[in-house]
Amino acid sequence: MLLVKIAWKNIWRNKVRSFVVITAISLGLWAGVFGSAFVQGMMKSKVEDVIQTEMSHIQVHVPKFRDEYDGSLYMKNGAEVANAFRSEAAVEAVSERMISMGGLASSRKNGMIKLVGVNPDDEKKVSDIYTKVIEGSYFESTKKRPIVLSEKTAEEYGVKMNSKIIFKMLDVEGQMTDIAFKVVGIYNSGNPMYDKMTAFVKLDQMRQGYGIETGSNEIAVWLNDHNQSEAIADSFQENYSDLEVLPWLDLSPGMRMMIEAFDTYLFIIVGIILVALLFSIVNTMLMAVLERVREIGMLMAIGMTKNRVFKMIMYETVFMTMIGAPIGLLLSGLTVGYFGKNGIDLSGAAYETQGFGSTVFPYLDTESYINVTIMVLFMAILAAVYPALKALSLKPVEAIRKI
Amino acid sequence: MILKLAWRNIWRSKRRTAITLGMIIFAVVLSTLTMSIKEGMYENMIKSTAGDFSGYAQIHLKDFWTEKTLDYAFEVDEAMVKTLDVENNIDGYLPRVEGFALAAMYNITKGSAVIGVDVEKEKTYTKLDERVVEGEYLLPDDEAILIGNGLAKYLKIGVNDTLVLIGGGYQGRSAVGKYPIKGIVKFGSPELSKQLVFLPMKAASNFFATDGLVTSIILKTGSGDKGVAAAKNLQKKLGDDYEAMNWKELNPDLVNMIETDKVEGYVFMFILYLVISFGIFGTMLMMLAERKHEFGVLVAVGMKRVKLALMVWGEILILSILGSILGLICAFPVCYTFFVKPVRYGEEVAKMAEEYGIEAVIKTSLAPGIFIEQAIIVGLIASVIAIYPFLKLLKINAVNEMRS
Repeated sequence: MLLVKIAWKNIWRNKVRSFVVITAISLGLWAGVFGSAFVQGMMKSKVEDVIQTEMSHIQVHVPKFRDEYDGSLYMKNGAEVANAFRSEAAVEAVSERMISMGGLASSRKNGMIKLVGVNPDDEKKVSDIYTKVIEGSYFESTKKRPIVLSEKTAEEYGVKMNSKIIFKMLDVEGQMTDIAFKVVGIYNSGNPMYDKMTAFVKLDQMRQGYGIETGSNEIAVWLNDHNQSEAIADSFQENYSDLEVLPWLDLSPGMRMMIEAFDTYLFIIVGIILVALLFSIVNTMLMAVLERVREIGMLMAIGMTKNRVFKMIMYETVFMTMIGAPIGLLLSGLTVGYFGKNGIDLSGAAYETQGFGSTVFPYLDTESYINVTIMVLFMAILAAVYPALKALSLKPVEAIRKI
Repeated sequence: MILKLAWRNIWRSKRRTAITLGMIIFAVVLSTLTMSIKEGMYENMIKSTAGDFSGYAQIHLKDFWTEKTLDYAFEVDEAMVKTLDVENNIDGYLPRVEGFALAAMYNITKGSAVIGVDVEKEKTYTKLDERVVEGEYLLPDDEAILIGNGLAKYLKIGVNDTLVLIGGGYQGRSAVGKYPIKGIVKFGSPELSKQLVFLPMKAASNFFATDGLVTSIILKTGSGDKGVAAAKNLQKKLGDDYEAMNWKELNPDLVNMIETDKVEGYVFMFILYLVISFGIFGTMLMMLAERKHEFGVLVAVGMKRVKLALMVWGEILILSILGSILGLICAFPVCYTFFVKPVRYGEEVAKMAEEYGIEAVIKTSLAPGIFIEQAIIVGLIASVIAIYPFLKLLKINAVNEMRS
């Protein structure tokens, strides 16, 4: 108990030294938390962008449809499945789609494209692509066969608003048909890969092209809470065993890869910050201990055991950590909270053209918060061990003699 | 005189010097390592998307890249060969003739990119033969094709099946041909693997009726930077009839992605610099506290405060420069270790990344620019922080300092 008291008094005796150590700890904690929150926030917004624009939360297909976009693999009972989803409380919106992978032709170019037939009113609730229309509108035109395609596609095929463009597709029987569409809207989602491949037409016209009246080959589902994607997908998969019900995470193999690669990256980043913190604390503590050579020598000379000197220095570190940590946490909470609401503006970079918002909203889940805090505190205390051991190697007499 | 004093002070207290130097060296090593990892990631990405197959630079007839039709085919004449041979930045060059055709099998058709290649040169420079996963690689005189694994899967065909190609040839001629599949090549990018068809140059020349003309010359260079330099030199020499494009112009999307990522990197670097700065600041504060007595005495015996402040500032400046240089030297082996022994991603990610043709490792870059840049930045940070003790010493009170 006496040692604890001495340690506590030592901290306040030399304010500059304590200030440096405490600030180092709180700054380190802040850097760790804020750095992780920044990376996680970035990741989250990227994932959300992809979900909002391209994937929605759950998609339903006939198994194997996605391999080759084979037109004969469609859900004849599409409307029924869609209604089953609609009746679920957790489901906010459902959109039926009919997709065809076929040839697109203009006077300039022949190529392949994934043409998605949608019902605009339903589609607006599961995908925000309609907000990314930069010219014309999202099917508000009165044109007979409207098509909405990307800026990239328009450039490649040399078409403008109101231009005609031909789509060659196979119907459900495998017969080739040509349909002429008029461009009514041009969008730019920001994801060049997606833009190059995707264009939209009206659902019934796509059904006509396929030669069917009802049915769909893709159903996109939007939920109230995206964390439920997997659970709901699983429960529907059980009810519809002849269909393939997938949550967004499994819709694209790249998605899981991206998320895991980010985790690895985050791990490295936090690691580097922790090492920087470790070194700055070791350094300051080392200075602090070596500065006190005379004082510690005196303590040893009047009979304080090495064990106790070590304990005393460690207590001091623990106290300073205990003061620094809440300050650091408070600072992190404030900055993450502030920027999480207002965002960090990174525009001016190539951002806009990438389509990902130019603002990053830092975000950190509670688990990572706790993990980072524990790691920083552990590092801080670990950092004191070497200087404390160094103090033990002092010989009392020599130490006192030194100025 | 002041500088001399500063220099002597540095060596007077070796422990203090060691700690301050250590802090700066360490800061340089850490920030360099971080930057080096980032740059390494980009290099890896550029290499797997641009470098390996499409080369870091290409030459076409002007406007081919935007129009992409065979009408922009040209002859690789002697003058061209001569120009390419004297260009130091390139290791070699590969002529290709690239066109578009529908590949048909029973009732499935698929648009595909048909590429006529110099079989031997591809083997040497792009290792196309190593991509063959089934069947065999082409011989120069073969009337056969290699197709991408994605395309094979899509058309449900394999080695020894025959594929019909229908497309447009040179100057409006139609190109129709029937070719046995000799091998299947694996490409990481799903987009490439779903549409690539390779023909030997001679067969392609017959198919497209191009009569030995090519649409592009792929330049093989050791690095992206060399590709940029080569494209620049060649553009000048070849004149306006041709376009010599570097990988940045060939892959604007990739450049865009990297630029975006870089900005995010800066935010992180800023946080790191903040931690580092405080480490250095802390060390200086301790130094000031420790030397109070000494400074008090110096002022008491008549040293001007400005001189004293300048002396300490000089000390820190020397330490900053020394630390930066030493840091540079220490950073190299650290980065080199990760260059030779890259960190691998977790198993699942690694597998997927390799599917996409990206090397599943975090590898550092050894570009000298990174090292020098980081050393300078940290050196500057340290010298700027030194302003604090400078100002503090200008207001020093001798009596108070000595008493403590």
